Amino acid sequence: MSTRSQRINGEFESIKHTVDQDQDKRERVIKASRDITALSKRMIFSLHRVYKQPRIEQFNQLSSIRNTQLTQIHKIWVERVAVEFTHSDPIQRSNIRHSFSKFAFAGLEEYIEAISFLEFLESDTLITVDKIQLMLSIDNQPIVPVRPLEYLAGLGDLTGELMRMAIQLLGMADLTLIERIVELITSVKLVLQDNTHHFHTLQQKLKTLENSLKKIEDTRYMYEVRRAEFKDNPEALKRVMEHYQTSSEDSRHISQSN
Amino acid sequence: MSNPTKRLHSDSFKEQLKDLNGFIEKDNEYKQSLKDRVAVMDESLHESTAIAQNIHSIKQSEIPQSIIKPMESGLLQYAKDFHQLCSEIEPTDYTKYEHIWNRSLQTFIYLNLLSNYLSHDDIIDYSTIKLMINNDNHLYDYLFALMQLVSELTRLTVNTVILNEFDRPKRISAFIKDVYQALSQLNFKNDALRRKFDALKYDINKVEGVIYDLTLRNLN
Repeated sequence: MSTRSQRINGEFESIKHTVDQDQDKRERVIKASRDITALSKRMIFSLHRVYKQPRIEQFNQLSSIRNTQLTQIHKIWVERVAVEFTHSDPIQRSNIRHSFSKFAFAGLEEYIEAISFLEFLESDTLITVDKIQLMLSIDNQPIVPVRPLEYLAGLGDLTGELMRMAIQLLGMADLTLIERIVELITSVKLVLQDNTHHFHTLQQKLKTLENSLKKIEDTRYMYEVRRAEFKDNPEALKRVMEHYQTSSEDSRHISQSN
Repeated sequence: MSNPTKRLHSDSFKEQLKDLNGFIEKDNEYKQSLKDRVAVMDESLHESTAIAQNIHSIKQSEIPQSIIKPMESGLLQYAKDFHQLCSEIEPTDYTKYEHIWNRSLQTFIYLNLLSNYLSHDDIIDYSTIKLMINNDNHLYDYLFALMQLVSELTRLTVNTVILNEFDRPKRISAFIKDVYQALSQLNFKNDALRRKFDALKYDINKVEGVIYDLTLRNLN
């Protein structure tokens, strides 16, 4: 072996060490991100079971979801993501965070969807970027940066959940809540439209959102027709609506499994 | 829409998202300004890249004065511009924007590696590169540039034969093998770097083919 070869190999020892360490860190962050995604999905399913309950029940169930499921998700953020980004030197710390947090963005998106859904159900508001960032911080140090792209992507997904909620609520809740949902979806639609040229990945979300809006409109249309038809028979109207809602839920499961 | 509190509510959705738009707009403007700067910095690299292309058509004896020397000023200018750029960016924001000049810096490192190879028949190790760019965030760009060097030297091997300089392929081959062997120690993940590395074995093969052809005919 030539001396040049020996020298280069020696230098590569430490490079190998760095590359391996980076790889392991990346793997761990991806795994944590996957778990965050799964738990956030589960939380969204739980939230869908809440809004059909009586008001007082809703309050209890929401705070129970917050205390159990959300706490569990935060635990992963703190114990499995934040620890990967710790470093005594603040510049190094932010370097590591910026380079590796992208591997947690999938989980972050799903988390944003879940947390914004919870916030909407609890207080009828749209959660802000700042508030999410605050929730994902330790001592004012962000665990991962909450960037506009993931925020908007999360909101885009939220509109799909809101669409399901609106359809489920039709015929049982007062229409103001449904109108409120439509307002929120429309607002998100506008901001997505403004930004698809910056973030091309939002294009797909925007398309899905437009379909959701149409779906709500079609369902409301059908409801109004049936309501006029069965105006003397509220029981029949209720049955027709229930049938429609279960079948739309079925088709959702089918489309999910595909 | 007769209820005033409700209207206030719905406005707040839109208002809130409008603020976000403003933030995105500002961030994009900043990114665009960085991109524009990198485009200007790249001009001195373009010049050096064009000069470097000449290695394929000139004799070894002319390399110092036709390649190495003329490349120097462009690379020095780039290094200066790059340090200036870095000094204007918040150190904690560096990794947030580095993707804007990643490619450009890869080319810069590659050209330095090439120039150093031509004059010293050796690599520049990463710790020296780190000092040169005053930055420890570009290990993977360094590795990418090294692979690019191997590919380029493969092409050079063929061209030295065209120039009838039959003694050069063997030396180039020895160098490429040293670098390839070092790179082989690394466990790459499945990404662009890995694909680039996987493609290198064809380069190594090709160089071996050249050596074989020459040996067979007693030309080296």
